[in-house]
Amino acid sequence: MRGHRRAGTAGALLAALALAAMARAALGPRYGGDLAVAALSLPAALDPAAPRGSGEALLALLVHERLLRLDTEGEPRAALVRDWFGAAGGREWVLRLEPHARFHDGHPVTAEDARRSLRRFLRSPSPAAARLADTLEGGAAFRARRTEELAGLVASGAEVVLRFLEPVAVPLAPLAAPSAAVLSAGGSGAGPFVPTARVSARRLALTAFGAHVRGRPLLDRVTVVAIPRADELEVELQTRRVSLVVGAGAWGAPASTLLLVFDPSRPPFDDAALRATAADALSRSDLAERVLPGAAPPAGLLPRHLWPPSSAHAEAAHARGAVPATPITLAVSSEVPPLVSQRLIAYLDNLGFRAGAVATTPDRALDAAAHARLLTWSPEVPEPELALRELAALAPDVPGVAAALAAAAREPDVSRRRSYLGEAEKALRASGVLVPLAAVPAAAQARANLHGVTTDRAGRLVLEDAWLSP
Amino acid sequence: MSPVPRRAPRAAIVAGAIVPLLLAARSAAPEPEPPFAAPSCPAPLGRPVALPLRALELAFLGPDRLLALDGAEVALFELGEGGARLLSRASLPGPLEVVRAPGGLLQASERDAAAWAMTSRSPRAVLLAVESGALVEREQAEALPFPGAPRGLRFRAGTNLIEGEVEGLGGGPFLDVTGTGTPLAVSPEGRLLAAGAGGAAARVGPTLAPLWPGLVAASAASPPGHDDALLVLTATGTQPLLSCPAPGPVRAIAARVHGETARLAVAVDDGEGGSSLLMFELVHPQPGAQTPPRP
Repeated sequence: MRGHRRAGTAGALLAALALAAMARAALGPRYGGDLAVAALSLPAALDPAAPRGSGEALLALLVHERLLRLDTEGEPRAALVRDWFGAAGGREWVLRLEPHARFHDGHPVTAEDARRSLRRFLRSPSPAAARLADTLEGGAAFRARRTEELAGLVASGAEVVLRFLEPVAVPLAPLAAPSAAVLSAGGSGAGPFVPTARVSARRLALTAFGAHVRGRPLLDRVTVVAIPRADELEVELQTRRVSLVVGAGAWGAPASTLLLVFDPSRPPFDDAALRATAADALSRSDLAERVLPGAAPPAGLLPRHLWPPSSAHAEAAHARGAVPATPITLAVSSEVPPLVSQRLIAYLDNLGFRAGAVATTPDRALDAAAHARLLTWSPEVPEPELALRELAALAPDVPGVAAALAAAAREPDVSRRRSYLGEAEKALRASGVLVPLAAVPAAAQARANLHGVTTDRAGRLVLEDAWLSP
Repeated sequence: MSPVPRRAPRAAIVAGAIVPLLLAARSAAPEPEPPFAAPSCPAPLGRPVALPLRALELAFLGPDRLLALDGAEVALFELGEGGARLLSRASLPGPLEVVRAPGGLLQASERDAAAWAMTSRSPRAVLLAVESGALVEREQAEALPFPGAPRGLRFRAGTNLIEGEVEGLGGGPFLDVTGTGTPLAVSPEGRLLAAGAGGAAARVGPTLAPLWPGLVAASAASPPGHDDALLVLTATGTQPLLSCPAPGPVRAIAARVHGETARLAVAVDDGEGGSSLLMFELVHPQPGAQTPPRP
């Protein structure tokens, strides 16, 4: 360059226009900082498990790491494994471990660690584990504890080999379940944060894991405190005692289903016709959208991004009216805003039920002794077949569901597979046991200085790229 | 991270060719701060140029030679009317660590046609010289030699935070440090630190480039969702003399002063994992009544 120029802003603006698609941010992402989080509940133990409730889901992703994850499109992405490939016509899958992957205790992640962890997973209650077991060589007998042999799972050098009975659709998706996380022989996890101290049943401290497989997280520390009431969560945020609350508020696009689960094993909802009547009426109600920020009409049982919306209502054949003033108990997860449960009770009253609400924690909502349960549900594995298997476990013995799901698992053709899944979803809805009331976003709120918080495909909050601006 | 060695790292010895030069350019105290009239924002010299790497740091090695550092390598470019032509690339010492937001430092000497390079992904600093238009590795060291830092600079493991005792600035950590003239740095909170300066400090982003004595170019401390900017500040002032909108997050700035003009190379994130290079020419702000910066 010769000489100098004094120029106005026109050139700079032209350059700005030329690069208009660029992301905007300056001082960040930034390392350091302590994040205080309030959640409705903390799990009693940090072992890998299917998370129930947003607090458990948050901690599962903080502490543990899986062999692979599902991205926002539902495609598998590397985590503790570097890559994978299929062989034997799709009956065998070889997963090669990331060489630098480490556990919190400093030990390298080995194929034997993966094998041991997957054996534990295969005997867990997770429907994703049941699907994997059903399709692996020797998996069903191993899951049923009829044998310790498991020919379909082999550790070899730095590789884990899965051998299936026959080629299956989405063979690796079950490995993305939080309950399939890998532990060291000593029980240490490999997630982005190391649990350092459980100060009490209501407080857990974690520090950044410097050797995490995707790099040290940006925050230095995360402290999670349990605040059992949603309204108190918001007070914690407003008074700046915490920068993030999980279990109240609305975060992002709807990724969960506000779900009403009738108990079909006890009166009055053992009556299929009565369930159908209630389900049909409630599914047509505008229950949550007006009182729940970010909520939308449900696309079906599954969140809209997992399953295309269907305009068809499940058939409510043989419907009949309720017995006048039938008393029922309704267990309500603390993640459901009170206005929503109050409106539901009013609707149920119109249908002839005298409902009494019982508050419950998110982790116990599905097990509560009640005639019906109201909760926000998102799948452990955000993949349609595995999600429907999870729902099928809540509505057992619905005719046609198991067969349709089994056919979908074996079906390589995408279109026919969708058809089978559609049959399963329709049958589940027609049972009247599961009633989708609304599509709802993740329940969370943050202060403006917290950045980089994302959600995974299941609507779970991910903090490994979160950072605090000064 | 390995502990600081008890003796001076090897880098301090092998850096003999560069450090004295850098030290000679330093002044002992910040320049007195004269009032400056706010200059105009310079127009970019040509269109943005896509770089074949994600620049963490830039440095001039001559009027038409520019070094760009990413997490794993250094690239040498020839600057011309047509943009930037890649001349040579050199890998950094491995094994490379996985770092979410890596940081990098370049300490270049035009006279020696050489530069020390270090990133938080690489375990060692490397001295690269230009020979026949190609980058050639000359030496490695445990820490990056830096004027006023007898034990050199290192990155805090797994981060982009720079650590090392720098005369007048303390031990850090820093987001950036520049060693020509008065040592300047950026604190993790986004404050401009100048050796010997006290009181309030200007808010800046994570990258600096020294201009004329007492003047520095920096990125802005904008939060996400706000536009970044290229700032020109006095080393001890609290408000920028000049704030020009940038078309993306500014990740690296290099400046080469020649008389009353300074050539600026600015790398901005392109939103797809790469960087775009913009060149500017800045005129020394003229002494006069200070006017508010552009919004």
